[in-house]
Amino acid sequence: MNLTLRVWRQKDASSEGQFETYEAQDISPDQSFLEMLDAVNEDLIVAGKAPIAFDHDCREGICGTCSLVIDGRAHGPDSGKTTCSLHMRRFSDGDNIVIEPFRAKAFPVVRDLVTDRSSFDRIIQSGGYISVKTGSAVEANAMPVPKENSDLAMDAAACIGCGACVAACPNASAMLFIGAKVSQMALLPQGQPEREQRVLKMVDTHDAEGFGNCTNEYECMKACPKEIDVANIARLNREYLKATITTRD
Amino acid sequence: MILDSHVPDGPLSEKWEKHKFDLKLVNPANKRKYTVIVVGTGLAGGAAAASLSELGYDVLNFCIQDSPRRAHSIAAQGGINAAKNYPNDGDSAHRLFYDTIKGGDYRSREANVHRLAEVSNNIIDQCVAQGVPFAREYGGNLANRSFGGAQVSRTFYARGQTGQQLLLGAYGALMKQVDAGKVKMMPRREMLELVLVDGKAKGIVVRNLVTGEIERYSGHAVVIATGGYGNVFYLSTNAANSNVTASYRAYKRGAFFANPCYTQIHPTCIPVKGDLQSKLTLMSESLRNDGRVWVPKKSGDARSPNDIPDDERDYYLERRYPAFGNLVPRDVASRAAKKACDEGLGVGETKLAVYLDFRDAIKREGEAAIRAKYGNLFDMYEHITDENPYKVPMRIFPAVHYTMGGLWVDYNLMSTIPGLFVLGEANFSDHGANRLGASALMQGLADGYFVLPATIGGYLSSVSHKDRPETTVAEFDAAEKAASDRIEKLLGVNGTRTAVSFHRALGKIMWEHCGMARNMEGLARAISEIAALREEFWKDLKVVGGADEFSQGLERAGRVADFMEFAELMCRDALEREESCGGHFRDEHQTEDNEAKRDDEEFAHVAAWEYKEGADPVRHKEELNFENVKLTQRSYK
Amino acid sequence: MRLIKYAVGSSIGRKQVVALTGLLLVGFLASHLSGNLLILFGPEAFDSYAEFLAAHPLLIPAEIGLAAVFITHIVWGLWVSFQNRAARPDRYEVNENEGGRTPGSATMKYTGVMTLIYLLIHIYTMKIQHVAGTSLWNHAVNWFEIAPYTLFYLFAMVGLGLHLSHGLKSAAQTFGINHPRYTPVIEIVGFVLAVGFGVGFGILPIWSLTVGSQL
Repeated sequence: MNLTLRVWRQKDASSEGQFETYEAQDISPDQSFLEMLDAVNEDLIVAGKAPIAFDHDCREGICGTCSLVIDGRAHGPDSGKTTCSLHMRRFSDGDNIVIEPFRAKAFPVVRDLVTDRSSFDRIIQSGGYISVKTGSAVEANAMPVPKENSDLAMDAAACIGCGACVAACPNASAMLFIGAKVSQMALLPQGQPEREQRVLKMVDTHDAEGFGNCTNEYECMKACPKEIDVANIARLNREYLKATITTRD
Repeated sequence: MILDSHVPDGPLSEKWEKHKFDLKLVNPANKRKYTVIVVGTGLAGGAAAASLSELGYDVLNFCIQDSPRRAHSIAAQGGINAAKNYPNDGDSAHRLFYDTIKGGDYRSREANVHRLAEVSNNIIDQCVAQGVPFAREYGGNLANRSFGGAQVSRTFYARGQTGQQLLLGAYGALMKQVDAGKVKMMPRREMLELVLVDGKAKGIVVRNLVTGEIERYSGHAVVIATGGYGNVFYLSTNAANSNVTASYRAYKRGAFFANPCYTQIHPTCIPVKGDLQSKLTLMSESLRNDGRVWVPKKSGDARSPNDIPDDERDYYLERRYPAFGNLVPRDVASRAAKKACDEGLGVGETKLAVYLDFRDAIKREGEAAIRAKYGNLFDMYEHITDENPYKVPMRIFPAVHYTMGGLWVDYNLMSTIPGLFVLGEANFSDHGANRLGASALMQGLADGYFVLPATIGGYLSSVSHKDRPETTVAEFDAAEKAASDRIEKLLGVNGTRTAVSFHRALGKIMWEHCGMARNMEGLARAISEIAALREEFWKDLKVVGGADEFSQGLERAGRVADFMEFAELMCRDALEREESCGGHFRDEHQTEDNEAKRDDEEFAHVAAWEYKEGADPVRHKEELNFENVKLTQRSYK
Repeated sequence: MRLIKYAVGSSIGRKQVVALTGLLLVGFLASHLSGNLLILFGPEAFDSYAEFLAAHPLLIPAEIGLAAVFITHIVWGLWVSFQNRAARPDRYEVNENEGGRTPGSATMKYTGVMTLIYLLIHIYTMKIQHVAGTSLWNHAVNWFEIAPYTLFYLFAMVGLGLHLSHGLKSAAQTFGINHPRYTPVIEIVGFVLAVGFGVGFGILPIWSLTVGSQL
């Protein structure tokens, strides 16, 4: 099939960007979306033009490196899938496809479709972990965890940190991302000692990074390639309220 | 040079404890005066960076990804082994040790593997304490399953995302240390040179992948934990950015490279479709618990699989291995599939696939039961291939998955360069010639959490904390110049072909001649074809863009250039190893029923290659002594 | 300190302020609607209720409190909106929904602003313009006979319904109530209330123009 792509090109963070139009020719329906971009890039390089920069790594939907907003949808039209797992059979011959980077103040563009998502790392740095020094752990079965809680924690822990929640959120909020981490830790007995400080610090960092406020539109959950539930945001909200009331700070 | 593994004396099960006591310690007040450079943030690198900084060392941690959380350890699905013996089924550290040695086809070091088995339990404790949500029983205790044909249930797992959860645990520990100011995290940096001062590893030169700047960092020791080199085959289950550059640069500076020919081919991957495919997708080998592998008996049978009656199908694994059937180990299943395809019995468009059929399992247990067990895998398969595996058999083919070879290290995980430590898949030490399922995660974390933090002290205690060079010394100038010159050279070719097209061509050569089965003639041909391709590469490569900008094309070109050289080393190693063992199968060395034939007389050793500028590399041997296990031929009949 | 930071300086705190004031306003709307529905019972019933309220000693404090809640809701709501806009300085070329948005949620700030405009007009027409001592019932029904006003009124009530259709369940979520058993119930109650308020207020002009003007 042949497609027309309108792709965001931007040399670096400080340059102005604009859309460029490219033809993707002889694309097979079995190719993945990124393989289609690979093919376009091969042609661009041979023609002496700068290839389109886009982040990708594992190409099997788990590393969270790939991004892209495709025709207005984070990770493209399929739900529960990352861009690398999107296949061209989802498109038809002659389609026009608009490809944009994830857009948020907290995700500045690095080049073309590549964005800087280190704000997510800084959120985790501020408390998204359990402080246990290597070697100081107790016997693994010393603390039983109800299976239901363990399963809910795993549901939340499935987050791949791709940022689609932010990209899809009308407010560029990262509440689903924080909610998932806060929930995972709050549901486990190991997470209790730091429960209060964790949520307070993570939300503070979230706000300082310039993410927006959640208005419960649930676009994040629908865009999330791991289908993480907004119940995790609710848990975050009540953890935050509780911590605000009980903290001694 | 004599390769000294520095394995301590004494009974196997006491070596590690004894060694830890014998190692000199660094005074706690002095630890902060030591800087350790850690390259890589996967299970091994991330765990090491976090643990070292907890001990008090100052750590500089680098990764090529935009975040340490994206290291390729994240993609491991199955699980992690430990000798907890929670199911009470007779497991022990010694049994885990024994299984791992045997699974590695007796090509690994006993003492290393036993240590791995010993610390396996601590890993589980550590990860649970970090909040890793392992699967649990209703009573709240941890669940186990049997994996990869093991006779005991010792595998801990977090759905099909064990690697992800373990990595996020290590990443959390790392982020805690970054927040505490003890680790300086430098993402989007690619290591281009190792810097030696007075023969010791003292720093690295990296390229900042965002700005293109070449940056210098010095320390008292360097740790490489940059994963495996499976992408030398172009198509593999590895992440697109996984590469051999850091290891290869260290090799060129004097670190020996051990057993590069040991590669693991995973039997249940989705077959290649089309020339532009960039990646192979693995499906859990648990599928072979219920799926039956077959090909048509008649070559060129064009009928739809469901129209081929049973007596015209060859269930070749069940036929050849009546005892293990479809559950034979990875290397055996992979080779059998290749053999069927070589005989012209392959199926699908490319004829490079075999059927994995669930018809009988669905008939026996019902579609719902099969969906409950494998639903997500079936969905994934259907999503990628557009075929419904509940209705037509899956098509599968083996793919490169893991590389057992790596930089040579001693018992302390130190390479032949003093001060250069190598962890995880990047080293060679624990899996021999074949890795068992659920062992890679165990090894990465063992190295990072428990082994290196103990052994690096032994080295640093012998180094003065004042012995950290400024980055302005001549050695750094030379290293930076080497890195920049190479970049200039890549940009200067200005030919007509992309780096990816060369990579694809290299992969074809390697898969053809240094893949699942190798022989003298093919390997010799591969070596000459690689040399020709390399020449072509330096004549006709095209990279668009400059050195001082974000340029994925330039990154790729540099990695392919290293793969081009490294591939030749692999072929040489495969050529010299005149036996079949584990993942290394030489056509010349097989039993009458086409099984791998080891040569313990001649080849019970590690082959460690030394780089020689302008000459052929030199092969050194580290003899493997087996005092605690008896070498037997693996049989799955 | 934390509490100030919470209410002013934190994203979750701010929206919990919006949610809390929103819930209080729903309480006010409920009482206001039940009072207004007295219009349907004729001038005597309604006017005596209006006079009772006007003469009540707690009216002024209640109005101040109500105004404070309104203003907080509006100011915090707008503040959150502006911040949200700033969180994405470069807009998307193509805006496609992922499937989570509802007509209510997607129009929240517009229906909010519309309700505010209505509120100002409403205070002017029904409070400032109304001469004390005259029949408020007559005053209201007369206003409804002005077609553009009534059309705007109806439009505003649809907006109010939309606003509430998201607001109620959203407030529950914001306070952390999301449960597989209770959330569906909350959603139904929220929807019914939203429709109830929209229809309840919307019925007034329709009744006025059909039945009321005949009285």
